Amino acid sequence: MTEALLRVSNLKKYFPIKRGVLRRTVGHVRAVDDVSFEVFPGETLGIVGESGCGKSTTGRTLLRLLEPTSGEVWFKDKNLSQLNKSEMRAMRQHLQIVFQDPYSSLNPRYKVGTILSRPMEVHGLYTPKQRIQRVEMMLERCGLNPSAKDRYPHQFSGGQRQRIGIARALTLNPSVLVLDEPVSALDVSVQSQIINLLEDLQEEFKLTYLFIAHDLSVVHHISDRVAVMYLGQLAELATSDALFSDPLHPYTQALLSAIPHPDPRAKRERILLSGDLPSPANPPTGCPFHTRCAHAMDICRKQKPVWREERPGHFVACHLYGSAVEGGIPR
Amino acid sequence: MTLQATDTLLNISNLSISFKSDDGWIRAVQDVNLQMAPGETVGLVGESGCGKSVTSLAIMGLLPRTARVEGEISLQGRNLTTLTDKELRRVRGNDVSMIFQEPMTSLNPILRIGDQIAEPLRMHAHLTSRQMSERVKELLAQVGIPNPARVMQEYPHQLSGGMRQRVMIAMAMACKPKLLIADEPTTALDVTVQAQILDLLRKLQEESGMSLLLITHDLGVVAEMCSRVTVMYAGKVVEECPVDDLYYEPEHPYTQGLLGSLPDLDKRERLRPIPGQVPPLWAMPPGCRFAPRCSRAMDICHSTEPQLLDVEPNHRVSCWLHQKGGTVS
Repeated sequence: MTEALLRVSNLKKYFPIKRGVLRRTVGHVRAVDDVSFEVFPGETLGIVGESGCGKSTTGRTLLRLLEPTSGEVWFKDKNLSQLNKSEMRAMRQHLQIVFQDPYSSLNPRYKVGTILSRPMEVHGLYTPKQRIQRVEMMLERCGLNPSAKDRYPHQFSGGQRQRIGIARALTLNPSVLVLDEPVSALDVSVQSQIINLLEDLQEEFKLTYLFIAHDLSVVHHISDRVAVMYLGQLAELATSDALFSDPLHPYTQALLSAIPHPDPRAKRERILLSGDLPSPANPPTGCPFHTRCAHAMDICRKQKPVWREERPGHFVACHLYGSAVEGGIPR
Repeated sequence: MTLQATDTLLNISNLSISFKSDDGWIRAVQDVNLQMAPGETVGLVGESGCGKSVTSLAIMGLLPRTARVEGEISLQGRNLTTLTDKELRRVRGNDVSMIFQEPMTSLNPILRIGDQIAEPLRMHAHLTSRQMSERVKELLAQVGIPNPARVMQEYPHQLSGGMRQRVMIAMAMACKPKLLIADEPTTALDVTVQAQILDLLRKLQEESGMSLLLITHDLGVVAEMCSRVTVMYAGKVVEECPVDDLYYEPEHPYTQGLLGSLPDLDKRERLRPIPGQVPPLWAMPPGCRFAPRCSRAMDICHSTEPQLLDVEPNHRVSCWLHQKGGTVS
């Protein structure tokens, strides 16, 4: 196997909860709690999970847009967590991000051309003339007319703005793109245009994607491998096909069974989860999912399951697997 | 579906809605027809700006006064468009009620849950305050809220998104409506919570026999909940059919395009998006509104609007491919 391009190990991000006049810290929200994974060159790793599971925080923390509480992120042979601010800024040339909301992620006061050439200016890349050429080239590559550079963001529709956001991320010629819910705010017909665009760009520019989304069918479609997060922790990670055809973790099973299928004759065996998501400020002991899990055993309440490779390339954190339990695996 | 007059709960005929702008009237919805039988679940599908929400607001009489409504909306034979405000208030929340996408913005943040649910009861039912609080508790239990007595005393911000949507549903169900309009009821919710809410709506419908008009962009939700579906594009109905036909035999190129845009969970193929984007309301193309994005558009499509006509029983399409003047391929 080729060497990982991005290695995340034991990443944690805790947000302090402050109360009272003295703003004393009374606890922590464990948004990302000990997450480790690798991303290989040229692949798309999807991260799925429901709101509040920490998937966006993971994306931002590994780019150090949020400072991690602990843990390491390696990009090639560089430890990103050790870099100082200016070194990290220089490093971001290789690691870019596209945000969910194409309305709030583009400055309404600047023309699109300015928005797109700013990253190159900051990194001191190219001459002013080359920058303009590059802006036009990227706009065209992203399916917009190069004349778009002389217009303002509000003159574009949601889908077009998302194309602008993608073009901006690509002007620096990055190798990794973190896509944080890039199509969630778009209508179905536009969403599919953007997904196809992302696939084309990946091939053309040899990009590596970290695709963060809550829409399971979109993630299945675009990802080579998929990681499932629950309450700040990874529950399962496998190739997209293995995860969707044969999910191991009871949470993944429930999540997949809840996807509404457009075929009215499709057979549905829904696993309805009871109750609400527990608070990440006060997560359950042991396995974070045990409060809602139909297969929960004594050990699940007491002991956090280890992250193990149950099958080649198929990782899961669940006590139902491995030596801990005798007997069958639920299907 | 041709329904007997007595079978029809809701009958919308030739509904057009316009809004005034600086450049004159802009028509957001044009010639919409929709019938619903008692107990039926009908889906109203389309992308942003297609007029599905405006149509539902018109049924509720919730459009701003500046909107011009033409055509007829009748509920059990009574035309709602000609009612006075006072008469309308008696219908709203009583015979018809509605739930919205964002349960946080549609609940009053400074009123206790119990008081908010009691409001429709105060308007439409004559109950003592003890009966009222019993009824509220009953409603909260009915929508699956654990510990109703405590939740009654709480404020919306103390509840999760799914719980807030349950509260909205309890409020809508308070006067046992004959028709519930649900405008993107699960769009803001996570997929596992969505499953819970859809399950709840189905259960309530079974118990009460009400009709459900489900407005959504999600064809998966439609497949799961509805028996019939109406597809709208740019303010007009383009296709109307049983939900089975929508997936297996969609006739309108727009409907086909919507299905082609969806990632398939069973196989990973390249998506087939609809090119271009929805035209703005003030620059509608002459002829078929979908023609500029349609791969099968003919000359006539760009000049003359097609009619919504039967292609087979219960299946109507507005497309020249299925009408005289165009060639059927």
